[in-house]
Amino acid sequence: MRLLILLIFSASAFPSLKADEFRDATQPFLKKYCISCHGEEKQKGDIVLHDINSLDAAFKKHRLLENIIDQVEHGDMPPDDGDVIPTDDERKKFIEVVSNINKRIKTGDVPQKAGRVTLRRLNRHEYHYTVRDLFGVNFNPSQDFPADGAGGEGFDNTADALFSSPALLEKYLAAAKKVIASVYANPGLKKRAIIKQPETPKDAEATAKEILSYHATLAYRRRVSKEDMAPLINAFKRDLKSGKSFDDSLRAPFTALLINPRFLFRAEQNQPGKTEWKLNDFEIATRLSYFLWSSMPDRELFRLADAGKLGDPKVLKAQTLRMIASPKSTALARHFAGQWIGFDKMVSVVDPDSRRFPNFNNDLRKAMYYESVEFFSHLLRKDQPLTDLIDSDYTFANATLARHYGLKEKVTGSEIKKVSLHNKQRGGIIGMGSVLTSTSLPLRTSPVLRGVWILDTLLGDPAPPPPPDAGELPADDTKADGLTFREQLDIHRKAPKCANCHNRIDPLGYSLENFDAIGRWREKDANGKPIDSSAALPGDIEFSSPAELKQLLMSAKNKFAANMTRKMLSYATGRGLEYYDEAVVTKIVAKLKKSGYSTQALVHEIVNSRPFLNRSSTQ
Amino acid sequence: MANIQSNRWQISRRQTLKGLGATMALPFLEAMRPLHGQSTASGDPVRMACLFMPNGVRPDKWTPTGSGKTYKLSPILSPLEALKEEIMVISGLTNKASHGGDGHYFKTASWLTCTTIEKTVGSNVSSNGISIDQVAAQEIGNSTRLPSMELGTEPITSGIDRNVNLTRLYGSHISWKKPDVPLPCEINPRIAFDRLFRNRNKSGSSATGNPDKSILDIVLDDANSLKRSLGDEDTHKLDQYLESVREVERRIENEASQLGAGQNLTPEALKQLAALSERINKAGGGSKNDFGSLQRLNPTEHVRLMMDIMVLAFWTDSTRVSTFMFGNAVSGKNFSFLDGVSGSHHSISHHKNDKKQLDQYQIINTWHTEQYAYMLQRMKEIPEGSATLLDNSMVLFGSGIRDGNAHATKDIPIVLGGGAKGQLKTGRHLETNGADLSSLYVGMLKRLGVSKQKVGEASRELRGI
Repeated sequence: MRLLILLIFSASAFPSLKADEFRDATQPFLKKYCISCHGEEKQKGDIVLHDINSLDAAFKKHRLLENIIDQVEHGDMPPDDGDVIPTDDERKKFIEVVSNINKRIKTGDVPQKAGRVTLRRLNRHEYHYTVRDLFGVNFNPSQDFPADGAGGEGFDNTADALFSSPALLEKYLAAAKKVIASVYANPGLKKRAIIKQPETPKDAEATAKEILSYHATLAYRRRVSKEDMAPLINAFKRDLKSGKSFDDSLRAPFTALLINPRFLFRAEQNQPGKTEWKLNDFEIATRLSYFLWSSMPDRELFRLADAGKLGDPKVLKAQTLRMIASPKSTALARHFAGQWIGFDKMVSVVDPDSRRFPNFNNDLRKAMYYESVEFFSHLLRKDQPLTDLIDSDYTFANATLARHYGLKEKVTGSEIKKVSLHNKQRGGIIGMGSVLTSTSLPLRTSPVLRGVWILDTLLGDPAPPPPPDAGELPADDTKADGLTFREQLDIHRKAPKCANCHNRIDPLGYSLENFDAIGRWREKDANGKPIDSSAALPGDIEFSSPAELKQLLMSAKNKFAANMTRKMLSYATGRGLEYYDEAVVTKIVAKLKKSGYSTQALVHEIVNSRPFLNRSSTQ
Repeated sequence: MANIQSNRWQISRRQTLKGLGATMALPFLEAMRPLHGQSTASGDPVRMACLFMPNGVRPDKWTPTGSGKTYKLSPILSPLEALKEEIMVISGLTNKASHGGDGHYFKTASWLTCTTIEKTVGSNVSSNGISIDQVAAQEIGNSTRLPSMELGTEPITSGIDRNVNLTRLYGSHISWKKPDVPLPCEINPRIAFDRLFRNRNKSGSSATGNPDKSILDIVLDDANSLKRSLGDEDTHKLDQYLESVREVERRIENEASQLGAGQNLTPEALKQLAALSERINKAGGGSKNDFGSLQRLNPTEHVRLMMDIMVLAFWTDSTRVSTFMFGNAVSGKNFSFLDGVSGSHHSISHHKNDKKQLDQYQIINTWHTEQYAYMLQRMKEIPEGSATLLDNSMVLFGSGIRDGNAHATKDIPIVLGGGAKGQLKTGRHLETNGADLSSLYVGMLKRLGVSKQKVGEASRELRGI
């Protein structure tokens, strides 16, 4: 398909280059044609090129290379209104050099390493699930924690973007007290926590030690040392001495466990003197469980870690499968897929106008969210191809959602269940209410937002920023001065500075115009004019309707899989990706292609990858 | 929905509020005596609040006409008419350090730091400076229950803005305790209120016997051995956490010592606290089936509750420094609840000079001014000696950009309300010709009695304030 040509650069073989040769080969071109707009003075389109002056710098900005190649190759850059334009020969040579480096990065023909994740604080979801698994409480103690910001590839479990503040500590303290109070208030949970009682008063200390060591091991996710235990035991002894009962003397140490940095942070040991090392078994167990469950390892994982078995790929694979099958892996659907695809916005961000869309109520909001969650969980647990995300002949719905979608299939009840689809427009995430609503504005659809979402979220090809004064179309589409919304957007796009990007963005969104701002099918727009969903991308790619858009995207499976792999690798490791991760991605995508894009294969490959199982001394 | 987490996922806000509300009846107020910090030798202290408005303003309806004392308020500022003598509108300011990057983020995170943020999707988040509220809190925050408060109405925006390759968290934080420690806004009025006014120490026990303190001690006892096993970057993250532990511990000690002092709140303040608590409970109504954590409060009431909390915190001297974010940068808040507006804030701010969009933009801007006027009016009604709480305070209101359509950085909208105990020449329109925002902050810190008076690059105060 032509889309592929547009969006993917296919590298051909070039001889390797030495570091200084790269600089010498690119600097004259960049200086002559690029840096006046993309240097220290000006940063048009937020692109800066003057600092790509060495091979190392090119590695650091590897994400930009493909864009540079693309722009120069298609003659979009340097712009032809510039004073000087490169000759074809100059263009060709420059592209050759940059493509060569790009290819070496993708194939791993550059220094490789595992990478390094910073000490990771549990985010508020992880805190919730971990406390649930640790003490069995069934409320969400992190409900009022501030939302966590995001970093790296856009996930809120990115170590570097997780901060601590006194206000947060106060909340940790309050939550810890609330959790322990509810454990003590519930005889069952209390017995589960205080696993035994001292037989004689003389045994009190030894018994407390046993109880606290058990919980500290679980809370700290590793074997505990005498040194770890001392502060907890001392606190117990002090309270017991002051006349408190055995049970009550355990309260303070229990509470302290929940605000201990060993609990709140996932620490991985440093190994001074080494440049890279294998994670220990407990660290692997912890990475695996927070990747798949957003929570602590369970007994079986701990047992295997303790026995030193997790270094065995077979054991690791079996555990991964076992964990995927657990209901706890819903966390991966919620927090990985939710943030990547953006359907987690349904929870609190998305806010359609209640007067314009009175049927958009809580039930519908919830149903849309869980349609996406269940869909992703289904891919994972039933090992469906990840390309089902682009298009599928089934979805998940309850009666409310089926009615909203106007499905012909009969769906009853409030429970979300699998529904076969005969309508080709609906399947895949593009046909989901969550995606369609969260890429709309409160009062209208936005073909631009939807187009950007397809490029960025599905294909990993974000559009550059619009110039600040580009303007927006009216927030409401019912006051269109006689023009259809699409006609207004077409006028807007005529400006040359807009056309370059919007010619690629808008058509993708146009083809989805039959879906309104809350994901209903419509034949007419808000002013009663018929919807025009025909679209044309540069290169004479013509299509119309969601079904045809999905067909088009199916021709870019590898690009989609590469993007999803990047996202999942970043989520699993808790860091942004570096140039040396690109080769890992390339390798995984090749395997995915062979496996028919198996979703479980993706998870296995990530779990088995160098960055997931190892740690370097430097970032 | 057969998965284990679906039903437990979020307790509805109402349940949460109810849970807290149960312990919130009047008796706690009676038990609560000693919120009052030490009054300064010269009487009531100066307080400072900084209120951030996202997405800029309609430029042709913001700037007042005329200068000095004989100026006329602009349409957007007209809600301040009754407070004209108590405010100073400052035109022509710019925050040079924020010019570096496109979009909103550079102009939000730096609004109170006047430094240039680190361009990153998250690996090295830094404002490269400390915000003025935190500079102040570090010096004058020790004698109050909280050194500072950070309030807002929108949850932190997660994700990366791929357009400009920045983590969106820059757009959700104006308070920076350290260059790499952003302070999140509290958006739940119940929690903000309780944190200030609910007596956590009813028994009046001494600091050493406080159960919270002993729990924190267990943690601190244990910290050093963990530190030894970590690398440098990890240690840095851990230190951030341990510093928070120590600060909360200091706070607990502080409260305990204040209990000993036995100072009382005035009956009038107690009455207003009870009334506010009641209002917060009422506002928490809403749907029983709330899905998710979105605070679906009436937007105007939500803002006003936060403002009343600030006012009462200042009045009771529970804190002297506060920030407030009306919304996050690029806020897409749906403002259709205002007559004449249909659409979301950010979208309307990119008005393309379309008359209809400009009018809507103006209505949104004016709503923000109305809320600001509400807060100033409340402060004006509270007497302190022969003056008022407003006379003894500085309340900054403004945005990091002027015209949202172009993300313009020149002549940003800034109003300073209150007299800082007679140290500000209010009742005027002060026209500066491109002076840096940081110089205004130097002047504000000086009036707060803070000795560190270098903000960004500036160490000399703005002339004419």
